[in-house]
Amino acid sequence: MKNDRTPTMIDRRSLLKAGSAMAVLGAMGGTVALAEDAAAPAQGGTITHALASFPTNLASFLSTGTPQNTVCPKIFEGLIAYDFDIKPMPALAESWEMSPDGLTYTFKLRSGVKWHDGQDFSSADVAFSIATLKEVHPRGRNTFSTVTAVETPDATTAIFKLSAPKPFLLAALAGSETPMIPKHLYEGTDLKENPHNNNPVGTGPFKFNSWEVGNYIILDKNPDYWDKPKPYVDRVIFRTFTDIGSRVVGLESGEVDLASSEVVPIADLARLAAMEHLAVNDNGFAYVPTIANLHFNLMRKEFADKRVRQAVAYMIDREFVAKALWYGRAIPNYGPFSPLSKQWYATDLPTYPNDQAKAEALLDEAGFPKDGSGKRFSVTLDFYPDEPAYRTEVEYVKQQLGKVGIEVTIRSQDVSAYVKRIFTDHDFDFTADGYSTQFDPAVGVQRYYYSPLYNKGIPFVNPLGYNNPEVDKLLEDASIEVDEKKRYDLYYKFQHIIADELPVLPLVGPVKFAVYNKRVQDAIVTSNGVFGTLANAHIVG
Amino acid sequence: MQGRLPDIARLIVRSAFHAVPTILVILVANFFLLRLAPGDAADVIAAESGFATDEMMEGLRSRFGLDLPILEQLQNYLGHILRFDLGYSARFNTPVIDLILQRVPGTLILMLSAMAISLMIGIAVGTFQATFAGRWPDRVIAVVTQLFYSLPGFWIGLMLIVFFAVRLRWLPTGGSGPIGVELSGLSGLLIRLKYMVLPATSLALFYVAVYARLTRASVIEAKAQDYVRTARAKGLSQFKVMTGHVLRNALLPVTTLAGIHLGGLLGGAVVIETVYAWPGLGRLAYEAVMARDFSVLLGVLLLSSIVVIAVNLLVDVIQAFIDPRIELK
Repeated sequence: MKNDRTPTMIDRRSLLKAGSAMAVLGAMGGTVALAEDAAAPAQGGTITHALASFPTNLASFLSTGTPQNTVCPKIFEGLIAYDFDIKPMPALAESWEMSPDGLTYTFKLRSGVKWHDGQDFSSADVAFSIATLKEVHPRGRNTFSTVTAVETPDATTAIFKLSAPKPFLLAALAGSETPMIPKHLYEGTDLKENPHNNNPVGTGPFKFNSWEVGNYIILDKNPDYWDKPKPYVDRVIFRTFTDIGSRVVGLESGEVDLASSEVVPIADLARLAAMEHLAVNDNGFAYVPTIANLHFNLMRKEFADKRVRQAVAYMIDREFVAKALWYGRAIPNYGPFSPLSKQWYATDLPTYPNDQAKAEALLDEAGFPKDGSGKRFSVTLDFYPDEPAYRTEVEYVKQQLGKVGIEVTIRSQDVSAYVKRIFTDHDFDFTADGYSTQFDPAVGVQRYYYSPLYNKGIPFVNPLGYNNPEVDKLLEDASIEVDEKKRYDLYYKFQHIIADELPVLPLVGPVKFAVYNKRVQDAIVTSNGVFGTLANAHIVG
Repeated sequence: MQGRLPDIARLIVRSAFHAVPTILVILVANFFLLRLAPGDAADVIAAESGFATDEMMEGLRSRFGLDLPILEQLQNYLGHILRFDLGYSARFNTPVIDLILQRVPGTLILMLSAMAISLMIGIAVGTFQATFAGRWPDRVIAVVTQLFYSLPGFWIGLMLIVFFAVRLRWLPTGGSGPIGVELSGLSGLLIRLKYMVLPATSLALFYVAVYARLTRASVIEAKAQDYVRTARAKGLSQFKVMTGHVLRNALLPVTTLAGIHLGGLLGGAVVIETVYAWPGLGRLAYEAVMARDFSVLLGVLLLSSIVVIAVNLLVDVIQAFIDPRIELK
């Protein structure tokens, strides 16, 4: 499947309304894909994929780190895949249907699919996987919280029964998010200690071969894959490069074929893109976009007043941040959602254009006048240490706020210390950080603004101390609203409140990318980017 | 020489006896020292997930025993050590002993080859410099060794990669061997050597400089001694004087220092191991610190302290052989 395949211009909203139409479309998607690949690409070869850090385990139903999410979808598949427009395509499910009340989902499964150990994949595995994810997956707990049962009338039919609607359930079924795991190997075992967590058995295009912990992982072609003649390559090797410099030289020397934006520093991107054997793909990251922001601690007297936060906004030129600090690999952002999530994004949010006079006036109004030396107050600015661009952002913020008499001290620490400071101790003034908005706002965005989640000390969940009952209500309503138009309206209102009160000052929505060696084609064909299956990838030349 | 063997045996037994309390103190001190770092393994694992729930955090902490009072954690850890159990790694999801055993060969090979290279070249260069002390060959080399001494290891490593691996494409950029290929025989050894050249060289350059400077100084000093003049007067050849009289005395400080370095190299190769993605103990220790994976770190530190004690012992023995005047106490 190439990305120039004419997209059927139906968005998710209308698709969800017409459940049965989607089933037909889903089946069609499959045939289109088959027809296109008829001119069969060459078989054989090895793809080497660079990772920035190594996975803790290969159990993506248990933990959700980027390394797991990169490696595991080659082994474990989901019921559905999503094309570049986040339009669902069949994967382990051939078709699906949602009841109008949003309480019943019927999935027709592909028959003849086998686990890597030769056992048949069936609806019992689906029921077991969903029950497991509901219990142990960090996001699955929420996604499947209202799934009361998965009925399995026959081996290829799975019916989800819900007690309350989950408008984003059909968006959550990608292999990287909701992997199907083998019941016969996991049932009745201690899920966290199961030896298959390090020796996974899935249905995907690649089988686990070996793993040298902290160093490399080897996956081999699954010769019995249901979607023949895929996969095309014989082997996929994941190599860990903890040193930023060595990852880049691996791409340059041709030892590494594929690396995502977590691996390649944007500062090196232009140079790599100019190399003859390398190319950059920035399509296919809309499934789980991220945004980069300044997060305020509203419990600090300096930032408790929204006028101070607005004054900060007037001093930060988001166009400049995107162009200079993110090397143009980011879109200026003005709201709590990612600009890549076009189906939700409110385009009429206030932009706080650069205006020093207005910023000064707001600060005066808020009760922070300049003292004799021109200083208003001093604050400390932290930043999440694993994203190089945040380091330059904080320098810029310091310089800009210095102009209006806010003295900023930059503080750096390692990841562990950072997580404890921000999320457990709430011991910060403001910080350059970001979050993944995920495949649905109820999953990715809500956790930062929903006040009942404050004070729980959970990493990446509301450290702001923001408490607005109206926002809480909007988020609660939107998370169960099945009508897409009504849901959009709720989120529209939410975005406007946040853009006015600014508990988080959005800076940019980074455009994620993957750098690949041109000898590898079709490595990225779905909207979850490098979290895809690599089934279509093949070697040319 | 043979008369000294019982002495050596006695020395080994006594050192082993002394080592136990030393190691215990090291373990306890490390245990508390590591607890001073903010955050724990659960924070890091959650950070890497980019997502967490309170059930998940509680589950992680109770699984790693992080929810217990600190003294109880220490007691558990020491209890396990007594049973030769180094514990289980939170970050790597593997028993610590497996992890360490997996990394030890890589580190040993890198460390010993770097040591061998630096000692051979360092001593040769130092002796050469001493022979020409004060004249231009000495000065030119002094500038070069000064450069090796002061350039940071990671920079040398990256520059060597850029030149030999990216530009010329003669050598691989990193790793310890081709992945997923069984290597055997002479060709296998040659391939492994190709992977070792750059990391071993980068690691060795600094020590080449140290040993060259040290050898130069002590050779010059030894050359001025009366016994050297006597040896010359006896009519011994220049070479015999150098090897039998000058170097044998001049090498004592070099062996002492090399012993200290060998212990340090075990964990100190971290920069080179990171730059070359070399699977060694230094990188393991570094990653364990970043991940707050204390059982791995304590395991590496335990092993390192044992090695340092063993190497000190070895240096004592070697020195006794080089200089019979040294008593084995």
